[in-house]
Formats: sequence, C-alpha cells, structure tokens
Amino acid sequence: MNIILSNSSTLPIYEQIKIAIKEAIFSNELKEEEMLPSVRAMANELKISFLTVKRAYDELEQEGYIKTLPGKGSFVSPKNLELIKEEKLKEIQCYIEKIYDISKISNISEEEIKELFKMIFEEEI
Amino acid sequence: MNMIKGLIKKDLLNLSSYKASLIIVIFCCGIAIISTGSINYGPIIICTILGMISLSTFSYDEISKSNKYILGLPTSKKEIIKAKYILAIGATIIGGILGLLLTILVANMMNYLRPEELININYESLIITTIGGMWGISLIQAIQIPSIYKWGAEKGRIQMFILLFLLILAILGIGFLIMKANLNINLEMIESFMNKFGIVLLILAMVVMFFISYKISYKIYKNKEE
Amino acid sequence: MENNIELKNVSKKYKGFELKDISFNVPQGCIVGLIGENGAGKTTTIKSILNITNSTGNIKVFGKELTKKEKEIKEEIGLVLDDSFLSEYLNVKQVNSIMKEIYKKWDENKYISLLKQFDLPTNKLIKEFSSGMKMKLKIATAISHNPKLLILDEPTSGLDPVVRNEILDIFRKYIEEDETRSILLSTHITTDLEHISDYIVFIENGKVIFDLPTDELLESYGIIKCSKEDFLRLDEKDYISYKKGKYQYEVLTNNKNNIKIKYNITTIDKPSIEEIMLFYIKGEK
Repeated sequence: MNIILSNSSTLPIYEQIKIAIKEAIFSNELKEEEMLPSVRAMANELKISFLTVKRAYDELEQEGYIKTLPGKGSFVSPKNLELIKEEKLKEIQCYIEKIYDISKISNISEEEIKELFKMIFEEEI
Repeated sequence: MNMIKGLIKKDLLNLSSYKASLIIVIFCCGIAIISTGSINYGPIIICTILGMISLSTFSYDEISKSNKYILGLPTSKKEIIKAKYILAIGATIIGGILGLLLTILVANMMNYLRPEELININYESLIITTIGGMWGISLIQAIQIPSIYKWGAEKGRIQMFILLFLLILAILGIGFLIMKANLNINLEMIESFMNKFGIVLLILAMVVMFFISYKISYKIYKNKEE
Repeated sequence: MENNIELKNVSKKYKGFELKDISFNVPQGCIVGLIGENGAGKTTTIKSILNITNSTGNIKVFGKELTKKEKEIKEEIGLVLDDSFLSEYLNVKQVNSIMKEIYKKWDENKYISLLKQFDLPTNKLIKEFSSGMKMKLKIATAISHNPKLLILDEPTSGLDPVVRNEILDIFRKYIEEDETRSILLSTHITTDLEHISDYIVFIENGKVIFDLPTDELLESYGIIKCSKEDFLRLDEKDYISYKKGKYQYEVLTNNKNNIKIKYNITTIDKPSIEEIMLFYIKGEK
C-alpha cells in the first residue's frame, strides 16, 4: 500500500491517509478481512502523531470501510457494493460539479453538455 | 535494602580507580614502619586513608550530579544517607582491622627475615592505638558528613577543619578551666576506670556520635533541593 | 484513554522563579512533548513529577498518588536527565551491576543487547564517551527494566541530526511495543516533536500556555501574511498574536479555515511548532 503524504497539500494529513487506504481497498490491494497496521505502527512509519492516524481510522470505521476489534486490531470490512457505488457516485458528482463550473464560466449551455455526454456514452457502445 | 546495596556498589566502583594508589600508599607505610621500627602508626595511617577515601565519594557524586538522578530511581533520601554512613563506618572498621593485620604481618615477617634487628611488637598497645585511631577517624567522619550535606564536598572540607579546630579549642579550654579550678581529680581512679571500661566507652561514644550525625545529615538533606 | 501522568495545579516557588498551577495529562499510548525556553519551568515540572523537588498541587502517576506510592511508581519509570547520571566514572558493565540492585525488573539481557545495538564500548569510562554515546547509554539504562513510563529531560539537546533521529526511532519502537506505555519528554528542539509527539505542552514563565494535540497545532494553526489594511479587518478574537513588519503583518491564528472563509485571505502558511512558540513569546496582541 502506498501512502504518500504531502505537507504542502491543502488536504489535512488524516484526509490524505483516508484517501490512500480507500484507494488500496478499492484496488483490492487491501483485501477483505485483511488486518491493517496498528495505529502506532503506522504513525511511527509515517513519522506523524498517533492521533492523526487514529482520526483517519476512526472516520474510516464510521464510514464502514474498516472495523476495529478492541485488543486485536483494525480489519478491512467485507466489501459493501452499495458503499463503493456511493463513494464512486460522490466522485462523479465532483467531476460534474467541475463541468458545471467550467460551463458557467465559458457560457456553454446545458444542452451542449448533455449532447457531449450522449456522444461519449454512445461511442462506448 | 537492595537499593542501599546498589548505592554502596556505585560508590565502591567509583573508588576502584584508587586501587593502584592505595597499594602504593600501603607499601610506603610498610617501609616507613620498618625503617623507624615504630609499628603503632601503621594501623592509624591505613585507617585514616580508607576513612577519608570513603568520603571522597561525595565529590564523585557532585561531579556527576548523581543525586538528582538517583532521587528519580526507586529510592529515598534516607537510603542515600544510610548508604553513605554504612560506607564510611565500614571503611573505618575495615581500615582499622586491615591496618592492624598488615602491621602485625609486616612486623613479624621482618623479625623473621632480620632477627638481628628485632621490632618490638606490643599487641596490647597496638590494639589500643588502632581503636584510638578508628575513634579519631569516626569523629572526623561524624562531623564531616553533615557538613558536606550542608555546604557541599569542597566547602564542607573547609568547614570541617574549622569545626575540628573549634572542637580542639573547646577541649583545651575545658582542660584549662579544670586546671584553673584546681579540682582534685583522682588520676589513678580515672586510669583504672579507663582500663576496665575504656574500649566499651569508646565504642559506645562512637555509636552515639554516628547516630547524632546521621540525624543531623538527614535533617539537612531532607530540605535540600537537588 | 487512561492517563499515566496527571498534574493538577502543580506549583513551586524558588527565588526569582515560580511554577504556577501547572496542569496537564500524559495519556497512555501517547508521546507528550514539553516545550519552552530555557528556564521556563520544564525541568522543575519534571522534577516535581519525580518528587525530586517538593511542590504543591496534585500529581498522580499510573492513577496513584505520587507521594503515597513513590517507590512502587518509580519502579515503573525510566528516567533520562540531561545533566545527571549514576556516575561518570563507571563503565557500562558496572552500570549494569548497579542497576541490577536498583530495579526489581532489571533485564540484563535487554541491556546488553541494547548496548550492542547502540555500539557502545564496554571498556571505556562514561566520561570518555561522546555526548551522543552518553545519551544512548542513558536511554538504554532507562528502558532496560521495561518501564511503563519514560521521562526524558532534553534527550536530544547537543546531538547531531543523525543521532537525534536514531534516538527518536528508539522512542518510537519503545512505545510501539506496548500501547499502554507513555513518554514525556522536554526539549527546546521543537522540530523533533513534529515527527514524534502526540501532544505538546508549552510552558512559558512557569505557566502552561497551551496543551494541544500536535496534529491540531500543525493543521489548524496558520500564519496569515497580510497587509495592514487586511490586518485591521481581523477581529481580535480570530487571531492569537501578530508581528508587525515593515512591509507586512504576520498573524498567528488557531483556525485558519475560519480566516479563509470569513475574510477571504488566502496567504496562510503552515507554521512550525517553533514559529508558533515564537508568536506566543514575542508576538503582540
């Protein structure tokens, strides 16, 4: 698993960790039920505070990606297809928002955008 | 108890660099005794050296600032002081016994090697001078340890000499007063009393002295900041 | 999370110096950095925790009253003091033979393997060691009875960066071995703390100025660089202190996202802990 932290990023460190772990889960690099490194081990490896890693793990648990068994460690949750879909939809929404912004600035109409979408989807078929 | 053992071990290991010089001093002592033929000084000198060396551990502690660290270990100020007294008393006792044995050994050896120049060995007076010497060293230690706790190893030494000087002055003063008062003292009675109970009295005085000294040291050190 | 150390209103008065109502905790599993200028009260705080100095207030270690269970508590503490050790006139083997008597749980094998790991000579006296070697020996001595708590006074001062990093790695490993352990370390080299501490307690003039998670300091604090006009727009509640320069104002905030949204100011730098410290000490308000 790659976790590349950047101090100059606008994203807080714990967000960067979350993204990296999620990517590893999506790409199946971290398999279902696989154990994650302990919070302290990861903190030591990344040379950051253990509270930062803990926050990332806690949020990943809340979002359902991992589960933590006290005294045992944290494990990747069984893949929840709904969850993945939701995540991907969120991602797509981000891109669409960008498209929306660009179209607003450059005065491109909704119709033209829809036309473009149609073209791309039809090409696939 | 283990803690005190550890602390004493630390002091002994600190002193192990003295080993070589100690042997040289004892050797010189031997030569002096042989050449002068007066063996009574032997035990006193060795006892004095050991007794004083044991106090030099205070200087080692000061250089390494040991006490601050030691107080952070599972120990107490009481144990630190106890360890010092055990070391000091032990050094004096061992010094006396060692001095006595070495002197007797050297004197007998010389008498065997040089029968033409016999050294007169009076065991009784040898033992008495040894105990007297030990008593003197104990007195110095009992005064010096609290003064080191009060003023530190360097200054404590100067204060100790001042105290000792005052003590001698006081004894002389009392003696002078007794003489002046022209008291009728039965010297013979004192002598026979001393012959009977002298050693017991001296040892008893030593114990009381160290006990008072320990109490004073503890009182001083308890309120001291490291 | 349980606390290995709890300080409540710890005070101490010396001639010309006062420790005033120091309160902070060292939670289990955490590394807490104590920072401040020389003479700010870091060492006095540490000495209070060890009862080397008698101070007023309430100190609990491992949930127990310090003054009542002193020996029991100290069995579980590993100690490194900047300027003080058993003796300079010993070699490492002699240190072992002394410490064996002192700690019930002294682990001779661990000590010896640490000496090997740190490459410390066995035949030299400690006073002939370099300062890095001395510090490594002190650390090896402090952790060889597997204490629950490590207390370190200036463990990295005067050492070169390579040795400093080695030492930080020792601390990381120590705390990873058992997550109920904690480390309290005082330092004025704050860059070390950015990569190791979980909480930072900043002491200035005998008082705690802040006690915050390190990531909060590094993520939420920011240095706003702005013009005088922009500075005058800032509400006093939104910043901690400022430095007035000839061409710009530098302002320390503890909520940089708020500043971005509220004032639309975008040049906000990530501060180092040292910079934050300097703003507290030298900044105006």
